[in-house]
Amino acid sequence: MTMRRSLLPIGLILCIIAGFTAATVIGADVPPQAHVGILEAGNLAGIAGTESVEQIKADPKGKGRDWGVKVFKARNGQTCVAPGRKQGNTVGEVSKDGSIVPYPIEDGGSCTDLSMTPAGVQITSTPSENRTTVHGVAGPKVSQIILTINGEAQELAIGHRGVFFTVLDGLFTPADLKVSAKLNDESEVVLLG
Amino acid sequence: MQQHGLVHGGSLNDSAYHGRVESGPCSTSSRCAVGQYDNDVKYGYASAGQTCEVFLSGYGPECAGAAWTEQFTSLWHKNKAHYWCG
Repeated sequence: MTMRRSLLPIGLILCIIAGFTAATVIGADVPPQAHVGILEAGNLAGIAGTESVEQIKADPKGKGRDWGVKVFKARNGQTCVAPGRKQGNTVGEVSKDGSIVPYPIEDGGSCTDLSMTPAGVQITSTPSENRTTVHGVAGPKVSQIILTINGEAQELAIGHRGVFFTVLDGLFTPADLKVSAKLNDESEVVLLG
Repeated sequence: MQQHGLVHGGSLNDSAYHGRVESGPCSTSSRCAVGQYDNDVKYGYASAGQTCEVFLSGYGPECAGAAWTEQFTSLWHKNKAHYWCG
């Protein structure tokens, strides 16, 4: 009986400590709960039948398949591009078994609203391949796309559907290069870098 | 839509998967998307006003699901990381 009486306060203290700890864990300091699942691509989803492969380029070191850009229209009207290795009439990524997984336009892509900006560009660097792609789409106000690396400028041809593209040997970031658009009125807009 | 800060997308239920997406400040000099699967990684940088994405592929249906942090309007959609910048 004496033992039970002496344990009672200890149990009470432990309960208070446990309750305080639980309240702290559940409280405001806890980061937002992550959601598990797949978001719908929504208006970013590509419209089937609008895609084409443009700007086919050989690998800069001759390794592997040619490269190309898939261009397509999203549901929101934006023009989207996605680079990858070319096989047949599609481009995609080389999977671990060596096969090509076509770029899934239904999931959206790198998209630009050409009514808001004269051109959009993205660069993607892939350390495992030691390659960097420079890909984008130019609208009707653009006359030239200029890529400058280490002070040397080169024009990226604007092809069908306004797509421009190149594959660089090595890894580049916007700190290493500049992409600019020369407009029809002779002004120049720096897109990246 | 302008987004700032880092986003870590978490990992898939598949224990072999170590997917991660993150977004840096959405300036044109910062990464706008990162996709990683084991040792395969891609970094994306985009001009203002466009979506930015990277695509990793070939990892099977077990990758068709992910965790993400909704507050940043970012997503790891199947094998792709998307961000809206600018």
